[in-house]
Amino acid sequence: MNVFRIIFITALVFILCTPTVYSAEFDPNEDGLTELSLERLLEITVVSASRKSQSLADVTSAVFVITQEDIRRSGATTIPDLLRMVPGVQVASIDGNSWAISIRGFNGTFANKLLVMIDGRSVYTPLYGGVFWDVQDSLLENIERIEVIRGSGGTMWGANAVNGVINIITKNSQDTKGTFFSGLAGSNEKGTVGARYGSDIGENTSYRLFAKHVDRDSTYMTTGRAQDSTRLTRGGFRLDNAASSSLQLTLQGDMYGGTVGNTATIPTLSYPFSKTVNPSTDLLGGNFLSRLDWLQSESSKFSLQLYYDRTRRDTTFVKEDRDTVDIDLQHNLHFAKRHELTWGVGYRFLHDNTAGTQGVFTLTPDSRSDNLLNLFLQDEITLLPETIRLIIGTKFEHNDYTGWELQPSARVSWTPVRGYSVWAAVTRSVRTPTRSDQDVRINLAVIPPTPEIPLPSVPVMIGNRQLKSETLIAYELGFRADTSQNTSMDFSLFYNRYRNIMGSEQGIPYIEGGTQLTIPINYINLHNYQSGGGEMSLQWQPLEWWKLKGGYAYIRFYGSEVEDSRLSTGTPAHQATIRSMCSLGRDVDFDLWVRYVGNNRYPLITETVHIPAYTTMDARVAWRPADGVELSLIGQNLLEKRHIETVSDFTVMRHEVERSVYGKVAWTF
Amino acid sequence: MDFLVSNQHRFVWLTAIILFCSSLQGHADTSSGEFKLKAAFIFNFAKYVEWPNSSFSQQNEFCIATLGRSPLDKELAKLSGKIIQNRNVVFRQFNSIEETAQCQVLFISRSELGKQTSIADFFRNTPVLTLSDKNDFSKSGVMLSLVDENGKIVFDVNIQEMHHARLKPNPQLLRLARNIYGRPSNEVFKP
Repeated sequence: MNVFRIIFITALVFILCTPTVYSAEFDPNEDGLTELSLERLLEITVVSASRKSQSLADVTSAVFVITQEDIRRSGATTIPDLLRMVPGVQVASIDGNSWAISIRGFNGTFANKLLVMIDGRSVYTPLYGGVFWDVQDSLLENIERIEVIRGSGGTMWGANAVNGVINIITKNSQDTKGTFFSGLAGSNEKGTVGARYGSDIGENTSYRLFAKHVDRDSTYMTTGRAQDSTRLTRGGFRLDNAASSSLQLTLQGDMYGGTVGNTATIPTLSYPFSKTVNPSTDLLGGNFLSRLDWLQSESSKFSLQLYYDRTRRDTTFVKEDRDTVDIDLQHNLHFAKRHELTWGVGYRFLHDNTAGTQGVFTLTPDSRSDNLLNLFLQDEITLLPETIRLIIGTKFEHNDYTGWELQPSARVSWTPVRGYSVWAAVTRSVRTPTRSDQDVRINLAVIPPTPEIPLPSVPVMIGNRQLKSETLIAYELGFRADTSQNTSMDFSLFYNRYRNIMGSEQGIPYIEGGTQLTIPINYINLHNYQSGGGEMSLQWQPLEWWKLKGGYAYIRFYGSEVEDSRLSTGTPAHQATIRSMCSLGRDVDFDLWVRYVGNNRYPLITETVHIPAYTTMDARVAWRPADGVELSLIGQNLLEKRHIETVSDFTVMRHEVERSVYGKVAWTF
Repeated sequence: MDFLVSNQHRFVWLTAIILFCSSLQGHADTSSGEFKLKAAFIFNFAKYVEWPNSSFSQQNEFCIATLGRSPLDKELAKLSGKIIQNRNVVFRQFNSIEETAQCQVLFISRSELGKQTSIADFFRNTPVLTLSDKNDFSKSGVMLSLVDENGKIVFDVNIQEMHHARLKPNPQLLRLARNIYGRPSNEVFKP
């Protein structure tokens, strides 16, 4: 109860202080502003009604922003492929429609230390803490930018933002007026088409509607052609209303449906004790989000967001229906000249109904409702104007699995000269147990009977309701330089100490039903790891028409049993990327993208698979023959016929990424 | 749990102390709404640019206009009635580029910028000061661009486009610009 009281009192103190302090703030009237000289205007800080936004130079974490230009010129057709340009992010293709994606390690089929959001809506699944990347898509031309934060974002965003946050932000409908069509087809793309229309309603409201259909072929597997095609259709809308310059309302939603192919190897009790099947997964989902941003005064703004999200995944073995309702209020307040306080409160209701298959995958109970409550408080204190800032804050989060979780952080930023900044941070974040961690029962394999044991033995993964949260204390250091319009660089170093990372422990075997010997494998909080490493990203524009963007990342894990761990490996020590963007005149682009991913090992239950290093390259040529028309030709993974990126925990089949080519037409009018 | 609570106590106290200490000393920091500030910039630019006399068809009128709807409309409309270069400011809002040739200052909304790649060509010999608030100079060829940087507004100038339009920028304007484009070398120049 003490915790409640402290939170309550703290919140109360801040709320009560509010009216008296911010009235002391300078409030320039309009006449005053126009009478100011240009020099003076250049010194005025901007506040906007949208959620707290900062320029990169002021951010005290390792942030990489994928801009719309990066998206267009990368030639990537999926969000996972776009993330390959971010140093410190591991992206590996599992098959034609699933990816293992993580930040700063712990990658794999069940990568679970990452928070992904689309316009403030959390899209990682509480089922296992990972992301179903096959359904995370939009018309890529609708995306304004993708912000990738490496390192803990727990204080701001809560549980699961352990190793990083990916925030996909779509454009305001004000910026997507007119009509847009795009179509692409190629060696693996059987025909992806997109359309968008945007316009105004009255003076203050704009909207857009869009639709997209993706049809992607099956990919190569070592045993022949896989059945991992993608057929997904989605459509959505966004409406933005700016009733006044201080009140903005956004309504948006989208729906999708379709089928993806998968491959699964499942254990069977009779010879040959496993079979590989190709279940197709039916996908259906939709969401609706509303957000109200209110600029109460120059120094105080509120943001209220409400969303509903529904997803359905229907595979042959598991059918999961999930509903999420989330409400979130945030208040940002400048007071006493040096403080920028942000506080928020949020509540999320989750309900799932997961029908599994006995002997393969079940959850007990098969339906469950969960509640998540969070309170968040952060103060950004200017210790020396425009030079030293201190940011302290914490999140208090209550979940039904482990109760209260505390995720504080302290960050400091020093800007000795304009354009250069050094920052350091210490943060604590947690990954709370997921629904599967608590309730799952998975038959991992069947070991054939032997003369000593006449029954088939079945190792069964069993969830544990006593699990504690995995915790991370992260120490980070960064340096950012924006030396001129044409060069910028960003370095970051980290040292992470993980505690209570989940592992498994074999229990006492017992005979079940007279037909099998069950070997229980229980989830427990087992490992303590450390990881260290760094990333850098560089941007250089030697000529007005030529841009180079590069990045490099290094990571290493330490700790007991780190070599055998299923979790800490699956991550290459070295990764590098370099992109060249050439504008040959006004109407022709020529872009190249080279990527190197170091070797790594992925430990499956049956064997440890060695994944060799690979270097590959994408190329794009685009030509704009007339206003609003762009034709482009893109080659992907050009340097070799095919390469393996990772393996799946679901199947013995091995998928490889092949060289591919596609052509694209885009037309705006 | 006791351990946690005592830690939280400490945290709350620490926060309170830091908040208190750092509010003792203040400094004059000013802030403003984005659109108000941009409108003030536009008003100021008009003072730092010289138009050829022939460009004023209505002798007593100084026209500030926007092309396409933008959130700046309201703030710019409030400039009506002020005086620039001894002329009364009037505000107009246009929806087609052909209508705009009679004004002196034209702010081009983001949606229009997206539609027209030929804005630079259209205004090449017309003495209209074109502005945008999008950081994409080389492509659209507008003369002045207001850009958010480090939470403040800075601006870039395309001197070549201004020259073509027979507009003379005051050296002071160029001194304060973040970047000047369109120098003869055709390279980005950092003043």
